[in-house]
Amino acid sequence: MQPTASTAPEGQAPRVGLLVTCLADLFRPSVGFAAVKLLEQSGCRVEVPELQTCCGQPAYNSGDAGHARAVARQVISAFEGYDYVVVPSGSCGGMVRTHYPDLFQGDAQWLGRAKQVAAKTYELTSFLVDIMGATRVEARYRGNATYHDACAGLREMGVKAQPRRLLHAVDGLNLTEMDATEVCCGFGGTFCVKYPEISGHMAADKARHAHDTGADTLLAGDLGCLMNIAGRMRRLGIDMRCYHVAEVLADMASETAPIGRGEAEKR
Amino acid sequence: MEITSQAFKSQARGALADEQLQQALTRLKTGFIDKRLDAVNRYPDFEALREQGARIKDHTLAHLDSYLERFESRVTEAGGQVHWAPDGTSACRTIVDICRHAEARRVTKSKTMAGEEIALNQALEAADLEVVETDLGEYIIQLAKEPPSHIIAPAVHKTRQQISELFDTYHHRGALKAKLREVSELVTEARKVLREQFLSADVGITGANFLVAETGSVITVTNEGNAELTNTLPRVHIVIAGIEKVVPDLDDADVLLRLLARSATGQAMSAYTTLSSGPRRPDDLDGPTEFHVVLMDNGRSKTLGGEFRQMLRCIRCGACLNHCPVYGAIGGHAYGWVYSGPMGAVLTPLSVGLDKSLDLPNACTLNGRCGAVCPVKIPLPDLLRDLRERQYEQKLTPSATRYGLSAWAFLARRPRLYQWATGLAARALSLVGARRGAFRRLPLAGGWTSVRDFPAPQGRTFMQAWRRQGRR
Amino acid sequence: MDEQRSRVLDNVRKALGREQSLDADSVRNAHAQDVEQTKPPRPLWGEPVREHFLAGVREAAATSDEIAELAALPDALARFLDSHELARELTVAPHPLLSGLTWPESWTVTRGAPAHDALVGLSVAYAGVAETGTLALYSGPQSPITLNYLSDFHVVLVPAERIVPYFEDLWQMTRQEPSFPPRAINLITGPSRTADIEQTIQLGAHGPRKLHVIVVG
Repeated sequence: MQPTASTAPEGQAPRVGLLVTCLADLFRPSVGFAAVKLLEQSGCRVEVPELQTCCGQPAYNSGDAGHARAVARQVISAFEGYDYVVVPSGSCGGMVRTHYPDLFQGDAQWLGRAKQVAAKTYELTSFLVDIMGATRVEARYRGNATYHDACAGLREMGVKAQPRRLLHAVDGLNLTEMDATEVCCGFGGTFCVKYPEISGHMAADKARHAHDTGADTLLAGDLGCLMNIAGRMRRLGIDMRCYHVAEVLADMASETAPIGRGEAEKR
Repeated sequence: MEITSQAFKSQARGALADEQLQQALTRLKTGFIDKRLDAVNRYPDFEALREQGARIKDHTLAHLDSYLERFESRVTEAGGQVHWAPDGTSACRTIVDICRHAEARRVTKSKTMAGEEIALNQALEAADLEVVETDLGEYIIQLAKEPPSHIIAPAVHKTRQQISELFDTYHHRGALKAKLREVSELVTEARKVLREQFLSADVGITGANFLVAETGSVITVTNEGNAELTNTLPRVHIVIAGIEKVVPDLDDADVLLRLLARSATGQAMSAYTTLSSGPRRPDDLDGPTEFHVVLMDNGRSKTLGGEFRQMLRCIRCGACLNHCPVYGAIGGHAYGWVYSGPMGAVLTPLSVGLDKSLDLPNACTLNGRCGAVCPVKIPLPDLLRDLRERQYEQKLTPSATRYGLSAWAFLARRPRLYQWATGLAARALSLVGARRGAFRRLPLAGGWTSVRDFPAPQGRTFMQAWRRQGRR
Repeated sequence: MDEQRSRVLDNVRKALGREQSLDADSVRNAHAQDVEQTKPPRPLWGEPVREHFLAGVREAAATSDEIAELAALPDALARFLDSHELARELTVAPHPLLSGLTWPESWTVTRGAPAHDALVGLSVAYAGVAETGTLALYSGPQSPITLNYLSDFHVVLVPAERIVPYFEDLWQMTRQEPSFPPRAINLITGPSRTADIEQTIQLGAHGPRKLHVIVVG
């Protein structure tokens, strides 16, 4: 991960545009609020551009580059004025950082703008550690947790050590590594509904590996993965609490029910 | 073999329910994956090696004509013959003609995926030739009358019990009553049975891992020794190879050889890496009197000229199959052709047509592990996505999906409308689902809820809640 | 056939956007400069080349022995044969290095290509490559290839001065040979093996079950 020079004037807090992600927006706003809290704690000024809906990945991965570009132009316009674009997802972050430049190859008008936004887009935990230099968080979580490495975050955004670094600083949290932590959980966007049996098989493998660590909590940096694994765990009767890593780092897990659990299951 | 890539979904379902297959597939994970990682870690800079491999391959492909011509000259100078086959049919015909001309009756074969690609065995048998596969895995599937399920471990899907039964039927006429035997016994038995075949063959057919233009050499990489017994004992040696197998010289071959065995099996070198350069010389003590190389196009020149050229870098190591979680769940037969896993998901549509293999590029989470382990850095996830783009452009994507994407795009480009609609949805779903926290069943979400519960939304969207707080 | 040749090459040239092929040598020379600059590192080791070669031989599940001079070969062979309870019967490559050697009277030594049921074969390697503990055996009047594959127990003599560090060194040496390249170059690393049954590695598939390397000098 090459840190890009901040466009923030010397001494001023960097202006961060938060790309909430469509999943967090619709299903779990607490992830968005956790991200805001963490960013502000690290010294950023956070804004959430209104004109955002989705990064365009569903269309892009379905081969519909035309619609993907249309949505991408919207994202680029909304975010290009910020010092950084931060995303609580390696998948959506990867879409902007790695694939927006691909989408606009040959487009004289948009390629430069796409590259510029791409270059300053980061996944949340790697931004906190690699760019803002965070080494600690003010959080406490009593439990044994294991962390799933979401694929795009790992392979497109270089997210591996950073969330672990921050999790080790959470008071009371004991982190254990599972087997096959870097193996795909079977979400893959539309893959999980187009090929449900294969997806379910992969999710069951992931659920079992997580469970075999003896941990009571599963964490990850991507809601797609988390909803997939949490949903499969429920169906298999595996009792683990699933949270987005931001929620735990922002000390907000206690006030939020785990993913896929009812209100009654808040700790 | 009959191509059944269109039946991927049902084949995959069958594979998931096949307990013996699932058992066999678990062995792949520790076998190939761990050994490769160990070999990679022991190498000083495997990443630099991969980059050099990609560089050599790209250069060669960009000058494929020059290097093919050079290869041909060298083979001819050494007394061998080069035959050119525009497609599989002409390759089969050429090879059958050579066998007929040699009055051959029995043909031994060492493993060749190019041969599988063109159903060569079928053509040879139709010409009344007796064909014997000598690679143990290929021999097993030949007995079982099945296609290979992995490009370097063709019988990986077979259990010891199944192999014991096959050997009992074909070697002992059932006298052993399908007794489960030890691996060592089975290998010893195969060795004995196949040794007789090796010694009595008139023609030996091999594939080629690499064709070296500098020397007109054909490189075979094996562990069993069957390639050498196939290319040395019979009086005729025929090589069938795709035109993309050529490399400029021996030093370039070294780089690719360092990549191949490590990526395939975790070995620094396979037990037997052999360079065959022509028929026997006047003072040689053994070797074939005829040496033929069939250079086959079969769609490769078309791929060379298009956006999928990088796929021709492939050195058939199988690493992408070993690391693909989808392959790991369903095995190779589900893909419906001889190439499976990520490389098969690219090659099959290119070979048989996008319309006959709609599922293959889509049955992938784009997780990227394949691209990360490919020794020649083929951007497999990108190629798979490009195939999806071709499908979309050619209107092969189901109309329900196309309408769905248009509807989604309509909303997504209108933030206010989108936020209103999602606000409604969040509210409605959470009202129903908040207590339990997840849905066991949800209309329109059957694909999800058939195997998992669907987590309920928290109630308000983030954008709504953010605005309520009066924040920008 | 010529028509098929034209068809394939024309299609290749068309795909590459050219009418005529460029000469392979000039193309390769330009490429050679590029790849020279980006040459990746090769494995390094601390011990002398000979030791590293032998370590590689053993790691590949072959056995090894060292003798100071050729005269000690029959004794070394006797040790090997005894360790596997084998009779003093072998087929020997008609290599000049072995031509001066006197075999013990009681031994049955056949020179040349092996019979189909030959049990023990003795070859002389062209060279050894330390990088991976690999033997390089070249076909020729002094080296029947079938000896390398039909023998159940294969013994290979490697003159110490013929052990080179890397494969590139092997090719440099080979290119000087008048009959370059030989009909067959067998790069052999360990005995024959397969993992085709349940991914269980089993030594002794079709080639030799045991490989024994003797370094002389």
